[in-house]
Amino acid sequence: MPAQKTHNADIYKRVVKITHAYLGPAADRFIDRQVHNHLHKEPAEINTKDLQHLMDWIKLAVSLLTDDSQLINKYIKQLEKLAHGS
Amino acid sequence: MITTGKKPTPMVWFVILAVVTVSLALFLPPDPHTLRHLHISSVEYRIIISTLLVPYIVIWYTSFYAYAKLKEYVSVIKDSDDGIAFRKIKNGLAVLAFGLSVPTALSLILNNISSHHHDFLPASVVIEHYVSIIVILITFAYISSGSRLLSIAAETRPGIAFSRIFSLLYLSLAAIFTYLTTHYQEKHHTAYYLNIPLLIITFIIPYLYAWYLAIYSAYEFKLYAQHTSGFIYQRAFRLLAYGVVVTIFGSVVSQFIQSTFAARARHSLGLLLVLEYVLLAIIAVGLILIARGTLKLKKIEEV
Repeated sequence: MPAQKTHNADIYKRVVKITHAYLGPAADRFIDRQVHNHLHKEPAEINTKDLQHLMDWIKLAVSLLTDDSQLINKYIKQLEKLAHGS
Repeated sequence: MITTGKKPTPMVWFVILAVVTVSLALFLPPDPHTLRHLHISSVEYRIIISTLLVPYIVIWYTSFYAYAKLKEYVSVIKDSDDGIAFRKIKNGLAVLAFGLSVPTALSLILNNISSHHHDFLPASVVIEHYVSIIVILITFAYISSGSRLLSIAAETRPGIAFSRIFSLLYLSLAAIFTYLTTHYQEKHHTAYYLNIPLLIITFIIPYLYAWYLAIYSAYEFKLYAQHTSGFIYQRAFRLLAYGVVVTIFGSVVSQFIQSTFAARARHSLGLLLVLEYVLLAIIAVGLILIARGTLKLKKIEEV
């Protein structure tokens, strides 16, 4: 379904956009890796249902990069807002 | 594994060059005139030369280590937009790593030949200078190409205030460097073994051009570190950027001193050596920061 594909690609773009504020030029590579390795999907195929699972992996991965828990929480909250459609 | 495929890794190159250089220091016959002048035996001479090499070998290790880490990072991001910029910086670091070590081995060989064949001394001095110039030109050309691409990616260009201050300071540096080298050559015709026009064209201008590229690119690194997006990425890149800035500062000051004061400070070799070791330590700190920053950037690509 083309409409569903466009919606999923839009979700992927929004996840990358949020991530860009934390990982800069590495954002798209980071998200692609999380989706491929843990959701076993193509990045553009992720949907809102996948987001919770993806967020868990992102939280785990980012906590390996920084001890700044405030920063991690801020990032995850932004992704949660996206998952809840706001 | 220390090798990948058939190509030696940077750390293998480090071991090869360190072994070759120490072997040259230990096995090349010392200049009898120097032994008589210093009142030491050939064994004592070899021990002194080998001891003096230790700080150099430490800095070679840091340079090859930083190059190795950047090479690993580039292999992970090679297909991305920033991969092209980092590849150029990696190439610059590779030339710097080899450029810090190979000329020392070459210098040991050339000095040994000229100590036994005094007619060769002018050629030896000129070759050493030109090798040094070629190394820094290639190093800073690569690094500045990389920093330029990064600053374009971050849409940051140096502002008018920086351009004005940079122009003033750089022109002052150029004038002082030109004065010191030409004045010394006029007083001592054996200082560089080049006449004034050749000295300006093949020595002063290449050095000044390389330093221009280096200082400008250091500022571009600073700008990129300030303006690139991503809090976590920015923290990691800052370490690398500070490392590049410190390395460039140490390299430029070291080259300035070597090419202006080294020849005239023969009577205070101890002071010159201490100064040289301090500058080598500064470069080593810069290279360690580069390696640490690169490790952090690489970790982002691995989780």
